Amino acid sequence: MADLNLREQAESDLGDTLEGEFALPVVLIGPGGITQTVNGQVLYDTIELNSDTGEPIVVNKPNVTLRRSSLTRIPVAGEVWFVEIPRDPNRTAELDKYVMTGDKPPAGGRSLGTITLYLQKATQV
Amino acid sequence: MMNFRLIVASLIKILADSSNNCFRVVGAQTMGRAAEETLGDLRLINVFHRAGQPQRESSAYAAGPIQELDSFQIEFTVTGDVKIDLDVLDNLSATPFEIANALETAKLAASVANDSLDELMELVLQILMDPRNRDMGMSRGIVGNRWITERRKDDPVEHGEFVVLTGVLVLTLLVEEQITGAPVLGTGSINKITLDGVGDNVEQTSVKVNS
Repeated sequence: MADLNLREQAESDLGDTLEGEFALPVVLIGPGGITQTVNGQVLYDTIELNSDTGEPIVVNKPNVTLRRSSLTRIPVAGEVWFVEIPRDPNRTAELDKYVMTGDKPPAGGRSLGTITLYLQKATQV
Repeated sequence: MMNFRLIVASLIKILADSSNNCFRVVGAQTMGRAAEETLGDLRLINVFHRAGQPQRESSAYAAGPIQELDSFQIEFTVTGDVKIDLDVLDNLSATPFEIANALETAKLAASVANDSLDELMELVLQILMDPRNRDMGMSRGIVGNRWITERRKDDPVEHGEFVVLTGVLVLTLLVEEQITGAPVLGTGSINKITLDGVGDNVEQTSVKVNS
């Protein structure tokens, strides 16, 4: 194995930090209708500050952070993707269906080799 | 109780009676809520008294009726989610083309919320300006005129899994109020003014003090 510089080593470490023991399966279906299943960091909620009071509040905001180099096609802003994640933090849990849309584009992380997708609730038309 | 307070309750009743389970109505301003509480037909309307502007010539010496312009704020909160063909994911025989078509035809949450709010504002405006509601549920003569003085839609805001959109409609009414004195001031006689126009048997103009 060739020597890796620090940046390359950091990206290589994503195999542990994002796709290792803490990871959950994520199913992505892109605009071409092609499915890819990867492991990634799945978070179901985040802590945000109430802009009026400064009080921290827990927001139900599912998002997944993935290793870019593990994706055969990387989502870009403005696209609509189906994203399925386990209902509970359990690798064998039933998958819930979400979508990623232009309402909330994916966040960078390119410097680290990651991409974060923000998931939205969807209902049948 | 003064009429502006009764009108708030009456507006809530008029809207609730006409809602047909398409929206919910509550009084007063709420402090906060989860986005999914106002999803779909759970969209929410808050009704409360915003401001009153008594006629400037109304005398503090008088105990008769006064008129004032009362503004009632009607706030809308709707939540949108993405509308998409999810069934295609459960269809094992679905082709990539069919899945791609489902993604292509998705209706985004912001657009869903926008349409929902437009529909709700139209509904409420039609209810409030309906000629049958000209008295706003009060006795004839209490409410003189009505205007929609403002109708505004805010920017959509992404809240976690959903998009939330809010809007405001301000209803202004010309309302008759009676100054009857406050209970804490006791039951002693107060000044009254009646109108007695010359040659007018209906309107009386004379001043009676401590009658």
